[in-house]
Amino acid sequence: MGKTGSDIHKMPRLNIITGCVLSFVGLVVIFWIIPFHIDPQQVDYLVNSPKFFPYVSVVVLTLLSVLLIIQNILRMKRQKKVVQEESEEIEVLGFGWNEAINLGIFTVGSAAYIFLMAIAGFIVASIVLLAVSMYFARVNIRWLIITSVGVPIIIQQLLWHTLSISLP
Amino acid sequence: MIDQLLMGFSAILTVSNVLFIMLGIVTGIMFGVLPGVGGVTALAMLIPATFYLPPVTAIAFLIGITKGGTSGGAIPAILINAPGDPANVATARDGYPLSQKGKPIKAMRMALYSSVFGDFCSDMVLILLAAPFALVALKLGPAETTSLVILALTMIASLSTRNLIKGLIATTLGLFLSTVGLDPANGVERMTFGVVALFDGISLNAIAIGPLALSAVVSQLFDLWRHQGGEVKKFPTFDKKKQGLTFGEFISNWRTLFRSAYLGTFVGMLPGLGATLAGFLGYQLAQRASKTPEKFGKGHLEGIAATEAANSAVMGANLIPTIALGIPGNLAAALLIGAFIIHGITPGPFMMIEHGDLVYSMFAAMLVANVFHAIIGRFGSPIWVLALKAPMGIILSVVIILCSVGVYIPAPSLFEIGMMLVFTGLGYIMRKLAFSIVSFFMGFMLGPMLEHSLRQTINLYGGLSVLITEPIALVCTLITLFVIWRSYRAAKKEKNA
Repeated sequence: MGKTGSDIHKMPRLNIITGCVLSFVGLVVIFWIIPFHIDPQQVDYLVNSPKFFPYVSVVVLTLLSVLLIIQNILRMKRQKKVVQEESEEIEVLGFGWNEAINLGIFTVGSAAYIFLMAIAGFIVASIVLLAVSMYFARVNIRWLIITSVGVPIIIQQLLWHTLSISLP
Repeated sequence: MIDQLLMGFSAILTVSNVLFIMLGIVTGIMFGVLPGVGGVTALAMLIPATFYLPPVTAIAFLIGITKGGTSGGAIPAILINAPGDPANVATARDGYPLSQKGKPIKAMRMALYSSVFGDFCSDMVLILLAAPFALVALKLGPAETTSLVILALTMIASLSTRNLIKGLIATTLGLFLSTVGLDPANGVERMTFGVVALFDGISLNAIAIGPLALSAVVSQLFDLWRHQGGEVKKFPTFDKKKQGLTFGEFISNWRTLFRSAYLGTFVGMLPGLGATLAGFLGYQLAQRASKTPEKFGKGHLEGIAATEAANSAVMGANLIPTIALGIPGNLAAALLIGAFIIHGITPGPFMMIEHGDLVYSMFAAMLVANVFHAIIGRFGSPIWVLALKAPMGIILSVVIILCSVGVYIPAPSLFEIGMMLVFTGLGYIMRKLAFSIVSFFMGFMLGPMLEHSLRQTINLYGGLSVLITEPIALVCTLITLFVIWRSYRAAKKEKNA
């Protein structure tokens, strides 16, 4: 079938979804978070209110998000050739199921790491993290064991003996 | 100025400071060598670690990292055509072909010496111009500061990404997040949700390490996991006898070196333009001016010299607006501002007055670092190549642990690590959706300054019309509008091409 419209418009579609999410978040911040989570203050001028700059920044953010939606709807509608977006670094762009799964794994892994560090300490948590990470990166098993055990111990000893810093 | 510089040298030339400079250079090169990791990762990760060092030593160490990181990125560009940093992409154009011709060490030495040369030239400009710039900056009022910060953020947003709207979204997100914490004017809690750890705002270390450094590492780890074939790095074989770079070969490119160094210096003075642009501009100018342009792209030493001198010259010049105005010109400068703040120093026009001795010590550290950079880079080549040969799975995994430790050191709290990981997730999403993390970070860094100057402007002048009535503010406003218009035109041109 060749290059389909869905391929060409992958980023614009993602941009529209992103714009919608950001707009929604912006509205939540404007109507709930700022009013209820910034203490009110009696001030002479609005600009001196603690809510002023948060409001300014989130309103601008929301407006830009709406602009992003409009920009990409127009692109898709006019079937125009889309400017190829680039990442700042060498990165494959796009957020599909793989990236969502990656993010899910990262979230669960991060929570587990913090939890393990809280109950078992830095060395145990880091050994587990390094071992799991290197296992999935297909590192040779011998280097996996040496590195995952050795590195946390070395770091912990170094910090304690040089800077008197105690890790969890 | 000379007296102050001599005093700076006397402060820097102690055994511990020199050792830390050397350690910084080694660290910067080691991290710079690793594609996708880079010197900025080292900087972000190790800034908190300098918390326990005296300010002079801390700054000297971090200066060493920035110097080493810049030239370190050229090594993988030359050896395996995989630049360690986007700034070294142009280096690969001639570095890799020369390496393929059996002269990788020669190419690396040319890159190193050109980098040191470019660094030195921009450091001299910095030393000469920082004080006069700071004097001019002292005359800037809140209106001028407001318009300057808006200009800087807009330039960075427009140059960091092809979609200006997305760049500005990232910037305003950073601005918004900078408001979390206690209001600096009223002491009122803002969006802290009762969490005491947030009273000082979102941790600078969490924002620096998470999205900037760790999210790239995490992204690469997932790529490694999903790619079945694993990584293959092929290193060139070479005859050791043909690797020498003679003084004559280096100095014969003196025009290119000077041109690129001062081009990079000029680019560095303007926020947002960055080392990548400087490298490419330096290369293109050199090719146009060269008597043998047909040799470019085929392993020409002049091509390597042009790129490396230009991209290395950016850093020193970036510190001019950083020191004089408190507005960082690039990511490394922004991270250095973070380091200054950690050590109780507020960058800006008063920095030269209140911390002049530290500033001149920093200048001295930069000049001393250039010397050690050349020596360490020259004799450490086998070590850098060894680092490059290490499996990325090990390196990336260890970097995750180092990042966690880095954020824990200045504020021993699991909350800090948690925040870093949250922002890492945000950084990962931003990377995949082509939102500029640099713009985000700059927005976060400059948010407090913008809020302060904006408040003062409106209180003093009753509104923002002063941004078009005061001459300097008007010029900045017009340039901002021009940048926006240019971005729109460039995007339209590309679509119609």
